[in-house]
Amino acid sequence: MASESEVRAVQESVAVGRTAVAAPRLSGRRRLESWLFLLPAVLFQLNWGWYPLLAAFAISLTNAQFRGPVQFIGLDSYVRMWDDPLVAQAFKVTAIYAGLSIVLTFLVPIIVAILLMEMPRRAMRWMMILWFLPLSSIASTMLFRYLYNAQYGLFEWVATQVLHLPPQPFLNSSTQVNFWLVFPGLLFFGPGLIYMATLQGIPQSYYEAAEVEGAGFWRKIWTISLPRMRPIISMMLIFALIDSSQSFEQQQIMTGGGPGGASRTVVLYLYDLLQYLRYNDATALGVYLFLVVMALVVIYRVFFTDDPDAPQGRLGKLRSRHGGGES
Amino acid sequence: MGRVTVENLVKRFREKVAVDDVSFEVNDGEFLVLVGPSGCGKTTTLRLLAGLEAATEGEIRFGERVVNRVRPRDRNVAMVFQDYAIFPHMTVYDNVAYGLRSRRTPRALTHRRVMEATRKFRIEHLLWRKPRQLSGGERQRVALSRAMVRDAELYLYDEPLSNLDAQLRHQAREDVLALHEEKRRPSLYVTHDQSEAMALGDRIAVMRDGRLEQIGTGHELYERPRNLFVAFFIGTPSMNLFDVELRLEGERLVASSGAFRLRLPDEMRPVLAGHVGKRLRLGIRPEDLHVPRMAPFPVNQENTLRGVVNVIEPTSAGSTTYLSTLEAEPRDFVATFKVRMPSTYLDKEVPLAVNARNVHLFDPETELSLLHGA
Amino acid sequence: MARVDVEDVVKSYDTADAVTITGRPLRPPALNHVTLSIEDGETVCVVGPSGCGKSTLLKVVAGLETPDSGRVLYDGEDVTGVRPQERGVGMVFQDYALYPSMRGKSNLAYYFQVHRRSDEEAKRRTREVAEIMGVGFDSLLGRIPTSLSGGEQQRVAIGRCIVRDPSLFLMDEPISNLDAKLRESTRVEIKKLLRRFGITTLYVTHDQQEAVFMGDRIAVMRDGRIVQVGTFDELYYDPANLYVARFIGSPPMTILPARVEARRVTVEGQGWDLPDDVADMLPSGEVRVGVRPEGWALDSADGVRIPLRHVERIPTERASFLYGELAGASVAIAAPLDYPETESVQATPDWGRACYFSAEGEDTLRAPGALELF
Repeated sequence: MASESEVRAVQESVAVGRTAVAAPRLSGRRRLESWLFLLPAVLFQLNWGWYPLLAAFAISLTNAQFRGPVQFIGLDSYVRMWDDPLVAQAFKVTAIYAGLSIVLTFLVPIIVAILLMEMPRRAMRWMMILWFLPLSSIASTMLFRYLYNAQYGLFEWVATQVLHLPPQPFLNSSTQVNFWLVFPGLLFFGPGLIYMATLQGIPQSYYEAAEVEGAGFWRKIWTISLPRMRPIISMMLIFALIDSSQSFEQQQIMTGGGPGGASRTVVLYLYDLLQYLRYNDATALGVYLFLVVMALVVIYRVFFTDDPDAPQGRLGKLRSRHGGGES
Repeated sequence: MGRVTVENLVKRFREKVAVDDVSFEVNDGEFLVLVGPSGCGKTTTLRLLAGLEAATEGEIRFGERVVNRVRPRDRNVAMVFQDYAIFPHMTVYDNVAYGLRSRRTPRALTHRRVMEATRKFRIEHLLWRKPRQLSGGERQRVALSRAMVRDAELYLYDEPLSNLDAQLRHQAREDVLALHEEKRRPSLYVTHDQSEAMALGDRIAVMRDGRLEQIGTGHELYERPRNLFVAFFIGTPSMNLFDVELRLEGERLVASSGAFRLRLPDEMRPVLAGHVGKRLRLGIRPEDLHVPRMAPFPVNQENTLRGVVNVIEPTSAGSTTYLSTLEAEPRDFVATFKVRMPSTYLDKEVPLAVNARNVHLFDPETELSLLHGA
Repeated sequence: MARVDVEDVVKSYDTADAVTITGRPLRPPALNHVTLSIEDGETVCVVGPSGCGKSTLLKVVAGLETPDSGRVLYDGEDVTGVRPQERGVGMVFQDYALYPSMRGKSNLAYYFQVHRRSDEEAKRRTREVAEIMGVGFDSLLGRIPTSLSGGEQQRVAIGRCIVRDPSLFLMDEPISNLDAKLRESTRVEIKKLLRRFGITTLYVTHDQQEAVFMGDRIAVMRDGRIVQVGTFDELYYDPANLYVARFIGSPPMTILPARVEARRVTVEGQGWDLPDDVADMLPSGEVRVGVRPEGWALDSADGVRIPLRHVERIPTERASFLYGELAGASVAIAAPLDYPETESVQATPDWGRACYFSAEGEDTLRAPGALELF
């Protein structure tokens, strides 16, 4: 009997999909057409996506001289970079920065978006307009550099005159610097808008049903909002991870990697290496970074499914059977 | 506990009045169906009872308790939604148990309730599936199970069958009744389908444009509709309506139109005395039109209506025939027969005998019934 | 005008969510060797549950989908490779698909603009169609679609099809978005138009009653196959298998487990003699007996006692249906409208008019065939 309902479920998904999936089977001519449609995207991807990557990988295996013969030197650069203490420090700084920025610029907007949904529509619209105001990120980064200034910055004034604290070092402290670098990101609410769009797409009847079933505010968020946002949270998390692991402009503009390398991220160090024309070392470092990020993404994809409605995996099935089965 | 009372309920959305001074009560254990065309305010009424909308005016009482200002979660109602509103990211088990867990019911009790309900609705083998893997009928039964595990003071149904394939509806109706049978609490069911209302409701309330037109048993609404709207709305196929003029020809009361002259029974004379000479609307139920040879009353020129057969629809017990009158501007009308009308009669002209005892007459201005007025 | 033949069509979806990464289809084909012919001027209804492939069939006939194998012929001419816009078909969809920004009139004229015909011709055709479409159609044409009700939109949509003088009409659940009451009048409207124009029509629906009403013939589909094609009487009295028997007829046929032995049939311990013509055709052993609601003798001396769940009264059909349970199966029995409310009823199936199916599988062992009245 179970198979009957399975068949039915499959039939229904056919039925549901039938408008969206109305792509006709391709005849010879249409097959050619579809390749033509693909061509621009493929060319772009090859030229600006894969070619530099492969070229970088190739360079990392040579001595990368401008003058004189380019020689194949194998993994020499990789070994050199592995032993370089500055590389280890750069990865550590990057990890701290990524961690901070995920907490501050990834988690906070989720919470803010959820809370905002409880506001009247008009208030919400105003907030969204504020966030949508076009701001140049470089310009505002520059602005923050002045705000953080130890002598005449606004932050210093607030700390000493308003809060009556001793003078704060801000960007000059090796322990605080990464926090203050992440801080401006809080004000750029890009991800929040995406969460709000997702939240608005959740059928109102889910919340109404939950309410009738006796769920309170937190329970509604925990059992409906968050699970429904899971795919988008998951995607944004990967973006945030990739993004923050490649952070560069903030550090370059505000600190130049200081104090004492405390904000020198991998990409900033890579940039420094390029300045010294150490192309082979720089590309080797780039490949290391690529591998680390790739590994994180793969681990994430393997352990988390981002479709909340998918049939349960074996793990979930066991868990709920255990949870529900005790009587 | 006990009955649910609605008094002078009004709901306005800005300038639009969705529910206009509605009063009714649902007795303990009663199954009341709210029926009306889309946009008549029936769903809004239901949502007001659930607490999902706030009443502009009027009072809602559960037993003696006024619940106007009580939040939905504290009203203790159970509701089956039109789109079922089962959570796609939760298993069937979690969906059914949701309400009990929200109210911190002991685990063992929750488990027992869920198992009982899902067994009753034949989904106990699907407990660990997610809704996406279920068919429409199964999803609907999950929604019913979710209501079943609760001990609510009021059960609400918002067109729960309208998303189902026609073939599944019969079984689904039985399931809804099974749920009601088990709980025996006040239940309010909203639908736009009068046949569903007739099949399910202990009593039926007909709504139009935010107003309650009439409330009563299916039989009452059918036999004694208070106005034209209820008369037309209740019953499939609908009542046939004709514009007639009421005349007194000697002792005989006659309703005449371009298509026919119908003699009305003498008993109607006292009631209709004041309307002689006026234009009225005459209503004839499809089953009150008979094949003359099979009519259970004498047939003559004064109760015969002629028409051309347009469409013949076979039904399980006979046929429904769609005809039009023989006027310059033909009017469509319908007759249902207990015999199968052969398709050879298509496009033919046939005489039909009218059972004049069962006709309805309405004032065209006020639309009120002249024979079954309040 | 056209005759349409669908010959041995197979259609699988090979889109991203329907195949594995190696190209293996995850689902059975949407159409699995379907053959169907529609005579010139005939209306064929394709009916089946959601996901049975009926909409895919319609799209293949329209040319919106290309079959994997098999052919589609219009008047004997192979059109399998012809683009939909060159096939001269008119389609009416469930969601009306009117151009929302255009008034009704422009919706009708759009075809002529696209095909660079003269304004003169567009106007003339629109006027002709408005005449044919009947009363009030003209006033619909001046309004924009969003201001029209569902039924009115569907009339405009149909008008838009007729304007282009199609050789074939394709309708995909055109009235299932409408209110029950509106559905009733709209389907009569459509049926009358179809009869007036005599256009070959393929009509898809999930509602067997609608199919019975609209179709000259009905094709029952399941899982991508056509199970049976025929008139209502053929499907009703001569079902090809248990599936069709259960699908056609409302309320559905009761299916009782029974045992046949020595020309006697036994249901739950109670035995009856079988009529000779039935007994001759049945092997001994377990069978399933299908009994139509009207195929029971009530209050018979040799009847079996059936506990009832509830009684549904349908005044328009002058009938009530008694719902109960026998031998674990749901039972629906037709009774007179004024049948008293009881706990249980004594009834005997009319063994001569019942359908017999094998206990395993769905094969028909014996069907009663069309009713002989004289």
